Formats: sequence, structure tokens, C-alpha cells
Amino acid sequence: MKTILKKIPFTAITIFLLLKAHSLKAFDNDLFVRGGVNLTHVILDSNQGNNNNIIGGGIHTQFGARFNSWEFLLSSTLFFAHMKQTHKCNLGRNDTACMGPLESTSLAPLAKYFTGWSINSHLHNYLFIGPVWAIQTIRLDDIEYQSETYSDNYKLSYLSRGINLGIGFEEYLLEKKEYPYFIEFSYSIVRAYQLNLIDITNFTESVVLEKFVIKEDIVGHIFSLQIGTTLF
Amino acid sequence: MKEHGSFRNYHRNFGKLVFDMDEPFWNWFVHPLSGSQLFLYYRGRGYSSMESIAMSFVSTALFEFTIEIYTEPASIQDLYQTPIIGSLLGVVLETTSLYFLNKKNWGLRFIGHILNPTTFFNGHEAEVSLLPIVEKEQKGLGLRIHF
Repeated sequence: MKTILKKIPFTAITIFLLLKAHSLKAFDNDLFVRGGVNLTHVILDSNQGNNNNIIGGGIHTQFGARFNSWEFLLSSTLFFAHMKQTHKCNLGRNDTACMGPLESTSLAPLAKYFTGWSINSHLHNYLFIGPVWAIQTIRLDDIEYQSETYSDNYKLSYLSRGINLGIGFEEYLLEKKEYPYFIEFSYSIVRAYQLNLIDITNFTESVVLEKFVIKEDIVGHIFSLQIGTTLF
Repeated sequence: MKEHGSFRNYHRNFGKLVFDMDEPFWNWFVHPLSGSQLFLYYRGRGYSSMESIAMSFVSTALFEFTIEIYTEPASIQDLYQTPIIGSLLGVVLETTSLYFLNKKNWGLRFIGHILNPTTFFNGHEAEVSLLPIVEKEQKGLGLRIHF
């Protein structure tokens, strides 16, 4: 049974939910898409003692369904930043300094609960929690690996996973067409589990040169302020 | 596809879901743009916004899980960003297109059609159609573009 469940593609279940959802009624029990912007501060911690503070911004999207006080949604946060301080990247047996433009993409299935507390009966409070998977990519300014110096046409991608939780407020409006806005503060703690060295010399094709299982503890604390609106 | 595609890849990648390592140009621009065109196509066929997102997701999933696996595994970012970010871009293109289509100036209306190419087809003021011509003097196929 477990094997069968593992083999059912994520897609099939989602398509079923999407098609079933058309029987839902008003915004109180309906699907939604939200979009907005985010301002993100990342603190990278490793057991090698080097820390890195990164501040960036980007876009934030949500897609899900609301049932009375609960929402179940997929949330995605994309942001760009730049690693200015020297951070050590562990490539196999080598520790090497690497810095450069950082791009981060995270995807989190979340459960959100409207607590019933509000400010002026207008801004309704909610809490959310869920797992998060992320990929952070650093386009290398300069890195040494196996006696060669890599730059410009190479990048490092960290795959990480963790937990995302937060608190927010949404404008209380009866219809989605009135575009209720939201503001939320989100915190994620993620641990990197894989590192890929990628050759991007050919723009149309990213070639993974090496994959490294991360043995040291690299933990990211991601603080994000997100503002947006329900679009439809 | 010729260089990196094979049925061995197809078998190996079937049902797999990974984070892809593609350049931001593909993940942040090409895929949302493709998603926006999917969204606009279904909107042009009379689907609501949410139905268009659902159909865009189905189209994307079918492509990722049945065609792209010939070369590489299905991508998590593509599955989400194509329909969702694509729909956000699609809404902007649709609204802007409608604004220009309501202008009297034909140049601005043409821009409106370019922003949303589905307005060239059935159900919109401009129609691109192929009409058979069967007359004594001539027989053929006529292309009609009506603004």
C-alpha cells in the first residue's frame, strides 16, 4: 500500500482537488490566488563558525482553498540577494570561499488558521505552519575546486528543507473581487542536505558537474515580510 | 532533444519530481510567459480565471510528466510557476489588452491584440480565419484578418 501511494504522482491528486473544488461556493469556501512582494533577511549558520547575513527582495505567490476558518495552500517565495561576505562552501574535501549573486526559490504547503481575533474588525489575524523545500543558487564570483578557479560560468545550488511558520493579517472583505490585501511575517528554519556544482557555460543547458551530500550543519534562518493581495 | 533525449531517459524520469537547476531566464521569464499564454488561451475560450489556472496546470503537468521527461525529470518550479505566476502575468496582459482594445485608434487596438494574441481568434472582434474560395474564375484559400 505504501509503495502504491508513493507511486501516485503529486499531480494526479492535485488535479482531482482542483476539479472537485469547482463545486465550492463563495469566497468563504473557494479557491484563490494571491500575489505580492517580499523583503527577506537570511542568516546562514554553519558549524564551521562562519555566518552570513543576506538581505534581499522578490515576489511571493499563494494558491489554495479556504474553508471557513482554515486555508490549505501552496506558497512560493522567490528572492534575489547578494552574498557579500566571504562564506565557505564545502565541496567534497575542500573548503573554499564563495560569494556572488544569490537566487532563492522556496515552496511550502501550508495550513493557515484564522484565529478570530481582529484589529478594528477590519484586519483579521491568522497563523500558518508547514514544511518548506528550498533551492538557493549562488552565481560564483570566484571559487577554487580541485586546483582550478571557477568563475562567471559556474554556480552552486543548495537544496534544503525545513519548517515555515508565521503570523499575518488579512483585510476582511466579502468578495475576492474587492482584492483584500494581506501582510504577514514568516520565519523558516531550513537545513541544507545537498550541494550541486553546475556548469552554465551553455546558457540553454545547466550541467550538474558534481553533487555533494552535505555533512556539516548548514542552517538557514529566513525572516520574511510579505505584503500582497488576493487577485482571484 | 536530439542530443539528450532517449526512451531510456523517459523510463528513468517517469514519475520523478525534482528541483531543476535552470537559469533564472527560463524559470522566472520563459515559464511564466508560457503560463500566461496558456491562461489567456483558456480565458479566450470562455473559461473563468480559476478554471483557466486549473487548465493551465493540467496542460503544464501533462507536458512535464509526459513530454519533457524525454530529456529531464519533471520540475517542481515549472509545475508551480508556469500556471500560477503565469496566471498573474496573464491577468495583467488581459487587463492591459482590454484597455487598448477599447481605444478608437487602430494602432492602439493592434497593440491590444498583440498583448493578448487569443483576441485574433473566434469570439473576439478581430478574427483570423481561413476561407475557401470557390468561384468560376478562381479557387483557393483566403486569409482574412478583421480589425
